[in-house]
Formats: sequence, structure tokens, C-alpha cells
Amino acid sequence: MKTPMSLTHATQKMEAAIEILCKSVLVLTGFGLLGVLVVNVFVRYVLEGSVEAASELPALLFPWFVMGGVVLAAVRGNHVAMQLTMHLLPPAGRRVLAFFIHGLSGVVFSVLAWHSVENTVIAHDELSTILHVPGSVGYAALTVAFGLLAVCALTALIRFGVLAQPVSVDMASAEGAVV
Amino acid sequence: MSAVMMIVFAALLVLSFPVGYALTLGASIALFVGGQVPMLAVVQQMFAPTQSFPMIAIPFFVMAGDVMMAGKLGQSLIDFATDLVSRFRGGHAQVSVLGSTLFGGVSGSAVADATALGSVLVPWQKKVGYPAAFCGATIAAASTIDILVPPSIPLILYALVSNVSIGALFVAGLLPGIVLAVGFLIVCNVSARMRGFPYEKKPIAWAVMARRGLYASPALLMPVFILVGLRFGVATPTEISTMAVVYALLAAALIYKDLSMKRVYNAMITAGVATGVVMMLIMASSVVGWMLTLDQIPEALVGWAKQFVHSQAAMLMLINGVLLLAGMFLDLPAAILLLGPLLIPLAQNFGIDLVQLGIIVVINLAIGLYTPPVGTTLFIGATLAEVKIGETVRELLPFYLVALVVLLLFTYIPALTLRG
Repeated sequence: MKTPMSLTHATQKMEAAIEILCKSVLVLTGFGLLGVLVVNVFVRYVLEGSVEAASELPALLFPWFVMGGVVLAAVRGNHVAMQLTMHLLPPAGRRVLAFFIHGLSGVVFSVLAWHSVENTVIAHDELSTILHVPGSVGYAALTVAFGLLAVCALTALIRFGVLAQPVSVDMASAEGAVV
Repeated sequence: MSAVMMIVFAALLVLSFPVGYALTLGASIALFVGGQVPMLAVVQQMFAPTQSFPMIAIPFFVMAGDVMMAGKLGQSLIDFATDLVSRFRGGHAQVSVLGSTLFGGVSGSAVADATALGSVLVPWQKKVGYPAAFCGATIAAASTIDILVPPSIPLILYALVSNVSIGALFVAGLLPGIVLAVGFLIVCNVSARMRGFPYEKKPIAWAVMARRGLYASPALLMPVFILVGLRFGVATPTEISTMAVVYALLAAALIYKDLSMKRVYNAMITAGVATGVVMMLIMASSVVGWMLTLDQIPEALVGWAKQFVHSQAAMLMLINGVLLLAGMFLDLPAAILLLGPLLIPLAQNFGIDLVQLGIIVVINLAIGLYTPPVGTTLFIGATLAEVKIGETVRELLPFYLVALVVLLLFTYIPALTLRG
């Protein structure tokens, strides 16, 4: 009895930590992007000048913003899916299918995280023209994203596989929808 | 390689994998099985869209809409729409249509609209005496007007795959949005007359309506501000999106006086998650598009079409058929990102204007949002109305008819596609 309880606790802690991390990244990079772009518009159209770094900063910040959003959507289960098969299955079947989905996703995202590390190393020698920031900064966002997606898949595997939590299906969920 | 990818993708999609995951996994597995191209390429292709400057417009248009709609403005728009149409036959249902059209100029999300508007309007319409399934059907169909009225995220995605100007697409999206709205207003009116829906004939309170119109004007002016900015080349779409956020923040702080740090924070998180969902699809589709190009699939498709399709009209009919079918099963952004690279060379080969194609694509896929078996706004409408999907679909029949007529008009009369 003690093991599942501590496992539940550990899984919840892990997911909460990822959520806090993603929200922090989203707020920092989101407001950073907004600030840079608004200042650039002001300087360009009102002062008729230019901010040189404004062309490079969005390219550095946006991959991290995307990383925060992709992983937060994964933690919250917001990535859009055609849930018809899941909806039709009985509870036990749903758990088996959820186990397969998160198992396969976890494996592939781990592999992609590894290859992303390789890309990060390769891109490290490329420096941006104005700010001289290594190209690895952008690729690192992708590495972190794939790594955290693999961790999210692992926590889901524990929840559905080990702790036997029920898989809920909400076909009318509007969370995370963009259209 | 492409065949393996498509088979794996289709299988994973049916098995309820998230669409973005299914695409990434399909492409990765196909590359792994093929063994001709290093897996590093998947990462490089997925990284490329994060360096696209126009994509930064997505979070800021979402954020501007969220800041606007989370406060008093949302209710004031509903009040204004109610003032305008509720005294006509079918007027209570027409509020859903008009409200969606007005919301569209701010939020650009059909699903958010269906939830936000539907949760307020459907219970009210039921209480007045409208059939529950009709209320669910109306909000399911009407909310899709949102994605044609600028700012429209699907049109930005189409611009990404077609290299057509976002401004030109936004200008072109306005007329079909308005025509659809008029068509749906007529459906509500005719249904009310034929089925005797209740209505209250009351005099127009001009002073109240004018006051509410004035109060809602910051939201009503937002699409105008976006279109003017893009049409006259004042700024890029990304710059306009950040200006829209500043505009929304100023309107909430100075006019509605209901801005709080928590609301701004929540709007940024909402924008981040929405961007994450759509960027996952864009990044995965980038790999898929690259693999299809490597295997020369678009060229093969054009060769096939040249052999079997002999006129532009027939090609347009084929495109409509494919898109309507895809829209029934695929999520809208995924359908645009996957089918766009295949349809664009076909359209170019048959002399079809790419702005017009963009409008055709979005109207088709919008219909898919309220068509079974997989229709997000259909599910939301039925859930809010507390009725079965089948009952809602029956009530949707006249809405399908109107949408198909609008689709055919914009397919076969190119002059209707306004040029920016």
C-alpha cells in the first residue's frame, strides 16, 4: 500500500515541477518577446530608427516559448487527438491503449532527445551575427522539450500502468484549442 | 518512406494518439525503418518552424483575444448582439450567429467561441423555449465563422504552407465570414417561422443599443485595425499581433477598468499552451512535408491529376471532396499543414488562385468542425445542450446546406475572393 502512495506522490510532484518550469519559461520568454517586438515597433515607426538585436532575439526566445507550450500542453493532456477509439473502449481497454500510447511516445521522444543533443553540439559553433549567441541555445530548447515529453510519457505510464488510474475521455474538451 | 509514414500515422491517429505525436512518430519510425536518412534530420526539420518570424503572430493574436474576452467586454458583445437581433423571429438563436461573428474579430478560435458563447447562450435559449438540439446545432455551426473573420489562425497556417500574404488572406476571409453569418441568420429565422419558436416583439431601445454599441466598440474596431494595418502595409502580421495585445491591454485597463496581473498572466499561459499545441503540429508537419518532397509525392500527384482531371472546375470539385472528407476526421490545423503542400502544386497547375484556395480550404475544414464522426464544435454544442450527437446533427442539416452553398459560391466565383 505504501509503494503506490509514494509513487502517486512522486508522479504528482514531478508533473507539478514540470508545470511550474513550463509556466516560468512561458512567462519569461513570452513577455520578453512581447517587450522586444513592441519596443522595435515603437523605435521603427515612431522614432524611425531600428534596434539591431530585435531581429535576433525573437529567433532565440521563440523556440523556448514553444518548448514551454508544447510540454505544458502534454502535462495537461491538451494535445489534440481523435479520441473515438479510446471513447469506444471499456475502462480496462482504455488503460491498455493509454499504456501503449505513452510507452511508444516515450521511446520515440527519448530517441529524438538524444539526436537533439547531437544537433545542439553541432550548432554550438555557429554564432549569431549581431549578438554572437551560439546556435545551440535554440536547439537546447528542442532537447529539453523532447526530454520532458519523454518524462511526461513516463509519469503517464506510471499513472495508468502501475497505479491503474482511470483514463477519462472528454470529446468536447476545448482546452488548448487554437481554432 | 512516405508510404510507411502515412500508414503508421493513420494507424496511430485511429488509436487516439495526439495528432502531433502521431505525425512525429510516423515520420521518425519511417526514417528509422528506411535507414537512408539520419535521424538528425528529423530534429533539424522540427526546429526550422521555430525560426519563422510570422509564426510569432499566433501567440499574440491568441493573447489579445483572451485579454479582451476574459473581462467585461465578452458580456458586452453578447448584450449588443442581443439588442440587435433578439426581437426578430429566431432572434434568440441569431444571437449565437451574430455573437460568433463579433467574437471572431477578437478571438479567432471557433472552439473557444463555442465554449464561451455557448455556455451562456444555450441555457438561455433553452429557457426561452427553443429546442435544445437546435441551440446546440446553432452554436456548433456559428462558432466556425470565427476562423474566417480576421484574425484567423487557420489562415496564418495556410499562409505558412503557401507563402501567400497573411494580409491578403485576412482581407479575403472577411466576405465569406459575413456571407456565412447572413446564411445562418436566415436558417434561424426560417426555422423559427416554420416551427413556431417563441419570440417577444418589443420596441427598439435605441438609446440602450447605442450605449452598448459604443461600449463594445473597442472590440468591434479590433478587426478593422488589424485589416487596415495589413492592407496598407503599415506593419508585418507579427508586429500587428503585438500591437493588438497592447491595444487589448489598454482597452481593458483604461476603458473597461477590469485588467489585473492575474488576467494578463493567464492570457500569456493560454497563448503559450495554444501555441504549443499548434506548433507541435507545425513542427511535425514540417518533417512530413520534407519526406513527401524527398519522395517526390507532390510531383507524382500533379502527374496523376494531369492524366485524369481535365478541367479547373473538376479539380476544384475534387479538392472540395478531399477537404470535406479530411475535415470529418482530421483536426483543422493538421489538415491544413498536411494537405496544403499537396493541394498547392495541384492548384497552381490548374491555374487556381492561391488566396482563393486558402478560403476554400478553411470553409471546407470549418464544416468539418461540426460534422461527425469527429467534430469539436459539434461535441461542444451537443454537450452544452445536453442532447445526443445524432439529434444535433439532424438540426444541423439546414446549416450544412447553407455552408455548402457558400462553399460552392466561393469555389466557382473567383471574383468573390476579395483581393487586398
